[in-house]
Amino acid sequence: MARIPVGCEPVVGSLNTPKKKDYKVTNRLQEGKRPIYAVVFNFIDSRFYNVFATVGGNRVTVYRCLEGGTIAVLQSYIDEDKEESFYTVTWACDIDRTPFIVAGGSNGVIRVIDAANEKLHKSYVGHGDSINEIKTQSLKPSLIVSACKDESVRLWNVHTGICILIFAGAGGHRNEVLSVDFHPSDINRIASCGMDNTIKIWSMKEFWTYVEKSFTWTDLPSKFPTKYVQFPIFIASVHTNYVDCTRWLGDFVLSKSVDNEIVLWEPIMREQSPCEGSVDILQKYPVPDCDIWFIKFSCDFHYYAAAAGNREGRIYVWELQSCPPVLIAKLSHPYSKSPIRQTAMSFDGSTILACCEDGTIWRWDMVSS
Amino acid sequence: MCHQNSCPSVTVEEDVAAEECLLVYCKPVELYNILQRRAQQNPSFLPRCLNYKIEAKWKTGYKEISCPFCLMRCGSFKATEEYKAINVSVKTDALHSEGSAGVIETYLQPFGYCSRPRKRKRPEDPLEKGKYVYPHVLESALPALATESIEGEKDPSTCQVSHNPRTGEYCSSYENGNANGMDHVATNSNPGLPVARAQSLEDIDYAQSTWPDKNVTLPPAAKSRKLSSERSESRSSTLLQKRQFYHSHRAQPMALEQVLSDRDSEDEVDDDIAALEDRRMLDDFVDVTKDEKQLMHLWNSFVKKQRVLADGHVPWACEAFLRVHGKLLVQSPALFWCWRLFMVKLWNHGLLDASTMNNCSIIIEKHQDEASTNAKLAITNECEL
Repeated sequence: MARIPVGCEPVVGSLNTPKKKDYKVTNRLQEGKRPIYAVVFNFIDSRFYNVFATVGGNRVTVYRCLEGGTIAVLQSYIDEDKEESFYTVTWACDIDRTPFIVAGGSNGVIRVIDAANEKLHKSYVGHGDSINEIKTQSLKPSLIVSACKDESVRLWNVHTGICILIFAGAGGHRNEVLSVDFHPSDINRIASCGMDNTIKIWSMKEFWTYVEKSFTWTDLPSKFPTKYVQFPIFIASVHTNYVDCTRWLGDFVLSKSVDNEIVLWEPIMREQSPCEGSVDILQKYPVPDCDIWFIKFSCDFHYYAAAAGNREGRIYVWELQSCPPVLIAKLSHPYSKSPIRQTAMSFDGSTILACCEDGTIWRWDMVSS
Repeated sequence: MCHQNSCPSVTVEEDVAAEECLLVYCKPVELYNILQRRAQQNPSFLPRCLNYKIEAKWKTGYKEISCPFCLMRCGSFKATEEYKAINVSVKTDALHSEGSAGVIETYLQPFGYCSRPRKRKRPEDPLEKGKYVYPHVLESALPALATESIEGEKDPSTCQVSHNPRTGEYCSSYENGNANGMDHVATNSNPGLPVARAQSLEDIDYAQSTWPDKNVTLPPAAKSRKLSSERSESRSSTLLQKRQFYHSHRAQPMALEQVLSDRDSEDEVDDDIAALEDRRMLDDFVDVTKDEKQLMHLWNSFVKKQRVLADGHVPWACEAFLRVHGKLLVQSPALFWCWRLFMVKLWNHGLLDASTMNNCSIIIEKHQDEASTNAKLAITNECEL
């Protein structure tokens, strides 16, 4: 836990400020009996900003948010293995802008679905256990990174199907990796966090030649000289419990543990010995009743706001970039009682989706006043 | 032998089926064969042998024997009259397939065992002798002992030990007359067959010779087994092709050609990354000059790559290092001084002797001569121009 010098206490947002915006429930879907663990809008391709994907059980479903609160089902894919339970989904695309859906779960196999041609594009094996999160590099949307229970993070190229780098080893995570995120502007940098209570920042600067090589690799993917990145450039102990979600906010990092809050902090790296840097905790965004792990928050495209669900089925929407933090809205509904595993904010934040433990998807739309 | 005694009503078909089940376990053997062949043709390390040292050791009564760490003869592993160094095999020879069956390389023995000479009297009682069969095997690297034990146990019918199929194997390994005593039955009797097969055949023959009256339904079974054995080779290779293999470090699926190729990159150190990490580690030192860091880096990566592990390897490593990097040292006086200091340090710690020091100097002189003649050549070329 980082020590806080006098006068540098983090700014905690107040839950009692008047609400800035109003949201109301416009739709509720029951997808099945099994919990839905992930919901994500397609921010990769501007043609499909209103398209989102969900995963639950062995099913991957693609929907489109229409005007007036309706949701249209576009596609649905079912894994052959009934025992498979997908935990995460992300959008990616090929070099020729073919949209891909990438999902992973308890089987440890990454399924890449070609959504344009409605078929399975590829399956990547390599992870030794369940995959907890997959994210796409928005600057190069054919790069994805996966966080796994086997304590490793892997970087893949969906265009060629190559496992480029493995972030694990001597300096790696010491327990399940739960979440991972690409830096929004620095293409070399990723942050990962997990059950060892730490957040690690990795750099692939010295390995970038391999990333470039992966795009032009014509031989068999398994012949690619996959490299191990053993040492992160920064290790932060911000939380004292499982860290289940982390996102970059510029050069700052948002992370969440089971302590009913999202924390914004700045990694302060030292030039000489990078691993011994310190952490400056800037702000805290309280999310009451958010004390179970595997609850992931999400942000809109511009990171103006973040929405986090909680154990009781309520959603807290925070304005991220103001100081002190401002609560935009608190969303609750009498029928929404089940833990919300993940939220998804649309491009402009006007629609918020929530997927729940009981297999429901809730759609909230902003009420224009 | 044992399982036939316990269930005498095994039919031929069942036997064949059981045999084919066993093949599942034989498949990886082919991989070891690949590795073995590769080790002979394409060794991972520089040849590690200081000939003059070995010769010197021979003169002073040392036995030529491999050291247990690097599996290579380096002359540093002592075997005198008082301390006997004995090689213990993990039956790697039993994993040989055709071709390499007859070849025995003593220096490739995978493990070393050192013992004081035994003061105890050899047991007279045959039962006692039976118990000591295993230790005999350990010591059979000494030819004298091995021949003695052959006399005692050669005839299986006189020896109670022969009831045990395991010791039976060992007895026949003496009969093969292998000075090592480690070479497995399978290699000589049935080269080309997977281990499990060879052993069971041996067992059957054995049973027949020991108890001729129990000669029940064995011959047809043996016959059909022979037929199945002919198929086994092709079968195991098709099974090898069918099974999906994965790279050991990154868990990526292997293509068939990678499985069958004699290259296994995964057990090698990733040089680029090792160098990167070594540099990063050295960067942390603040009281070390740049040249010292460079020499440290060169030495560290050399030592890592060539697996220099024991004190005894250091003389070899010094000479080999100079052969590889000597040119670099000659070119840079600062680096060369670092090397000299390093040699002094090694000397202080008793890791170098005079002859190695001398050899190192000779190698460096050679490099210096080469450098100066090259320089002269360059100058004359310039003059001519």
